[in-house]
Amino acid sequence: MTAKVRRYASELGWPIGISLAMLALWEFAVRELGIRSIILPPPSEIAQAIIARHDLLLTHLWPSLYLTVLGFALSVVGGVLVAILITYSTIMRKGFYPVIIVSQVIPKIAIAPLFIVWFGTGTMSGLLLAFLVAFFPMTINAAMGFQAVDEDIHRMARTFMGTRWQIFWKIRMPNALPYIFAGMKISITLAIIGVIVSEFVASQEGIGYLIKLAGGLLDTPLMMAAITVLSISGLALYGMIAAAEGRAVYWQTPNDIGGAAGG
Amino acid sequence: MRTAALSEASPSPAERATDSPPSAALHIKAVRKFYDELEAIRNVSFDVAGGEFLSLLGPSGCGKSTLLMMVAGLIDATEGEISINGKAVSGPRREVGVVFQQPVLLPWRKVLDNVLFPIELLKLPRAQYEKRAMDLLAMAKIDDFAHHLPRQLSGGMRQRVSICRALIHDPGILLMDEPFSALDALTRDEMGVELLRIWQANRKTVIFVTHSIREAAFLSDRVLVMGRRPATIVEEAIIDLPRPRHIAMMEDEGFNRHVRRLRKAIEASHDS
Repeated sequence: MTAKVRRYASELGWPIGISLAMLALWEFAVRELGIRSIILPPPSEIAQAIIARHDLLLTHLWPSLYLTVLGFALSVVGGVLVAILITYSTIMRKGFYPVIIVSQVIPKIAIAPLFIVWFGTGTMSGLLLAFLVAFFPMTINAAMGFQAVDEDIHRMARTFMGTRWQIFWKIRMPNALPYIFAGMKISITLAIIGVIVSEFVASQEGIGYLIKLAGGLLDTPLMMAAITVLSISGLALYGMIAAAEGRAVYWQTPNDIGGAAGG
Repeated sequence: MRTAALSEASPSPAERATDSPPSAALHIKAVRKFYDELEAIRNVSFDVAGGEFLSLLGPSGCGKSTLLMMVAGLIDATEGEISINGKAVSGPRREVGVVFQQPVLLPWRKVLDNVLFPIELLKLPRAQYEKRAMDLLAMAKIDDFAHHLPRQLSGGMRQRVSICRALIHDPGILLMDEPFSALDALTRDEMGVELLRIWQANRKTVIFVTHSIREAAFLSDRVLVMGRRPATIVEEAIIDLPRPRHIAMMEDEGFNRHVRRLRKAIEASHDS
């Protein structure tokens, strides 16, 4: 146990040390070169802004997080269901799956203004955009996981008279879990982007709206504070999924995890 | 927790279950297999007695694995009949246990749960078979690893687990498709001895597919040599070496005489 803790500490020590050094360099450079904080505020000023205006930041953070998590959750459920259809339906696999893969090329963010036209400037547009961008990598990863069952394992299960239902729950589902988690890690980051972009385009609340507003007011410390808070939240969401992955996919070593395709 | 009543109900490998036969007889008659135009197996017929250890020996890709998969009910014969204990094979059957070239263990299941996997698929009461699973693992000398994951085991140990899995539901016939060919030479010999020990205790009918002449001669009661595609049986050899067999027997003149005869048969089939 202590060896494990020590290993984590040494693995985390380097990136944390480098980050702190970069922050220190930033602080030092801004002060020494006399850069105005409207151009680039030093880390200390950003920290002050976070503390001083935490009410404002939180007020705008919650709706964004709420939409992100909801859109992400919908994309996971929808993606896994569509992946099951792709696995078992020839029409879906041969007709729909290639379309999904090709549509990956479309920058779905560009659709944001269209969503505003269709669904208005409210939360619906943000939710749908988050869902849309998160859905595709989720579906592709899950479909890969369900289908990537070793042919020998399939044969083995058939010699023991396994039914389709048993093969799905006892083989395909656990086999797909690492892929599903890899998809979830991509999807959560994309869901955040979807929400922020829709808030950029048209919204009266949310952290994306706040960033845009602060930019318009040339309140750079507030803008940087909002970006910082958003980044930390994104990191926390990602970390929760990674932690769940470590528990759910217990049979893989950390080095194996994350081998699935990107979105 | 295991109770005395449960362990009594559990069919142990040593004392055979009453509801299923200890070993099954296999009957193969005039079997042919075509893949479209390609003839893979031509007119193969043989019988295997209950409790017999039979090897199918032949070069890689000669169709011996195809034949084995037909006995397993995974591939249909184009012509001819295959029956186990008088019942025609038309699909996977309960009285068959299969060991593949790779161990094909499920990586997310502990060793014990891998061994019990067929029990779940066959919807048999798991609790009754837990003791049997532990007995089989003990017989294969890997009971200490019952609660380990497959990735923590060596290749030879994984293949032992897969042999236990093939035996868990007490099948009458054990089909082995080059089970030791992925192992290193030393482990391979050792696994052969272990397999004979397990076989001696269970007396299943075994059909063992291999391309190793020495392995076939060491393990079997009888060896059928198969020629190249389209596969036919070119030679039948009774291996009358005494049992139990030991590694040291591989040095004996009696053993080497069988090896030479089998090699000659294989070479003759290449020339023709």
